[in-house]
Amino acid sequence: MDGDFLTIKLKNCIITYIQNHKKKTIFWIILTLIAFVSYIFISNNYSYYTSPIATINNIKTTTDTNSDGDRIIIQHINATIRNGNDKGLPVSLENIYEPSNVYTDKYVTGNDVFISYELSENTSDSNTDTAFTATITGLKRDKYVSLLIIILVYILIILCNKKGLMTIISMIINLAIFYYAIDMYSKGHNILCLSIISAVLFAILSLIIISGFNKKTLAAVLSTLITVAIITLLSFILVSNNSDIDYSFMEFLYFSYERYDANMLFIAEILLCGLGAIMDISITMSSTVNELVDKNHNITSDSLFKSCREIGHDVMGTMVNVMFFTNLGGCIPFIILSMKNSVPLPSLIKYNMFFELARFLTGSIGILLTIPVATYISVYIFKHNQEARQ
Amino acid sequence: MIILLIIVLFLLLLWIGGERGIDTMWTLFWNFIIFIITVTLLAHNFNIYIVTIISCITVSCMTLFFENGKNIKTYTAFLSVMLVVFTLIPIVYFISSRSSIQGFGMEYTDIDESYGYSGNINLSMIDISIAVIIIALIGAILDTSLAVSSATYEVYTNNKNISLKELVRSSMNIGKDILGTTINTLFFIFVGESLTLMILIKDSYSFATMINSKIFCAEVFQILFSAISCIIIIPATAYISSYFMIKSHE
Repeated sequence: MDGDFLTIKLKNCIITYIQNHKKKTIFWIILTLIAFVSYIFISNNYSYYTSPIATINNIKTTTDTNSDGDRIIIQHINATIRNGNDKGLPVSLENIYEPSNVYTDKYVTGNDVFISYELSENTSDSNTDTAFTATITGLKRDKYVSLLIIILVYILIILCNKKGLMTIISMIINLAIFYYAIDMYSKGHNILCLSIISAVLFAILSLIIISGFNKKTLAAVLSTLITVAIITLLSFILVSNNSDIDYSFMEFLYFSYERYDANMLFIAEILLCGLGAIMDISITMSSTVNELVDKNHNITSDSLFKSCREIGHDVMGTMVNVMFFTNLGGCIPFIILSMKNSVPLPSLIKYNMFFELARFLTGSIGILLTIPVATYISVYIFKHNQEARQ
Repeated sequence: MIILLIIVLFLLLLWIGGERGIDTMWTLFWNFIIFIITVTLLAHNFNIYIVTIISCITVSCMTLFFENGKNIKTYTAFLSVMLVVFTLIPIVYFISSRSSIQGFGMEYTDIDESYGYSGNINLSMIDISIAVIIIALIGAILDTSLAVSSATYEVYTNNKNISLKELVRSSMNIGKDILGTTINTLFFIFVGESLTLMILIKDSYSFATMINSKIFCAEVFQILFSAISCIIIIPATAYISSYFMIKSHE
């Protein structure tokens, strides 16, 4: 009796909700459908790849020891080819991994892997029952990347509607600028000049997209550019007067770099790293000044400075924290590998974490500098404008 | 250079932050110590989930209670951060254990057995990759969560008769305003971090190779998880802080 009553009540609740929010519900359903369809499409896009792909059906494992006497695990994999001329054929693969998986990979059932094989004519004709062998060249990871991107876009739009969409658009524009800048770099332009130009574009476009075309944005853009200029100059002076930076610890730096090039790259990294946080603080400060002037037209500059100081104190601590963890998180695996290979901690901090620490510190200096810079500029713009009107 | 930068940072903290600046300095110092201890514990084969969760709790306590005081704003922010961290761990585990983003791909030309970095380290790099993702996002969610709960508190103190539904709605609105800039901040940190990697990829990889490569996925998963956690922390904090603030005055 009770259960029936509850289900009926729940049903009614849902029905009234749907009736009241008809448009919203339809929107949700369509969005969910799009998300599902695009995920299923991307996880089955085998025919778009030219290299053969196989899906792992089952795995048998055996253990062994390698030449150094360390334990290794061998996976005997049965898989099915998913594309190309041999689509549907079974294939047997072998994968060897170390328990730590520092350089190796462990595969699980359901993974898609890229394979390479040479099929001799007679085996494929005579017996299709016994699977031929191939070697694994890598894991197909595109479906995981797209799954996360779909989740991100989906919750952004569901929770933040129009603002979420704007955030996505601004990310796409920024990525396009970034891609173009890297393209120009590989054509031989100076990376620092490119970063400065793209930083100006990033700042103007992102801030306009976030807060519209108004005085608030103008103040934020100006203070962002000034602060970025200051920290770029600071890092330029420090980097070019410092000859003992060991660039062999900088990740992915191509082998035959020249010192000048490496310096420029390092400064460009520092500049881009701090840019987002500086924009964040700038827009916070200029919005605050805007709100205060809007609420009370006769507010004095002194009390504006005082309020901005308070707000600045509130935001600086956690922003510095964001810079710290997001920058240093990435270097954990390398530190652990080095610790396990008995590299002492002080030299780890000095060499392995050097670039991360430098980016974090300069970014934080940028965050702190933005507070007074943004305050002065926004107070000047808003008060000056007010006086001009009177 | 690092020491010079540290001195500049501390002078600025003193000049701009005043007394609050000294608190920030201490928090930063302790967070650095916690970071080093966490990494050391991870390297000595302690259970990664326990170490990660404990370091998340200590970092949150430092940042919230020490730097911003013990009050309803920080308590509710703490609760929401913990909620989000605990919900994210299984998702991160699921994706990273299937997509094998651990360790060092072939792009790391100087990290190799031949350079003396033995791969047999008696520790699962898959687990480490999970810890990395969680530790990298903790700073960002703390920031967002505290901003939302402080805003909720301001709205509530200005209008004590507000209903739960309205309070949640207005704190969600404030959250949406913060979101765009927070995602921007994360985006640019990752752009700066992976500039050299992107140059390498641009020169030698096709799009298909890039999107399936281990190193690209490892970097991108970090930013995507940070962004996703920053979004879901907003409704979490909005509900939790509104509920407790209204409840505490009844």
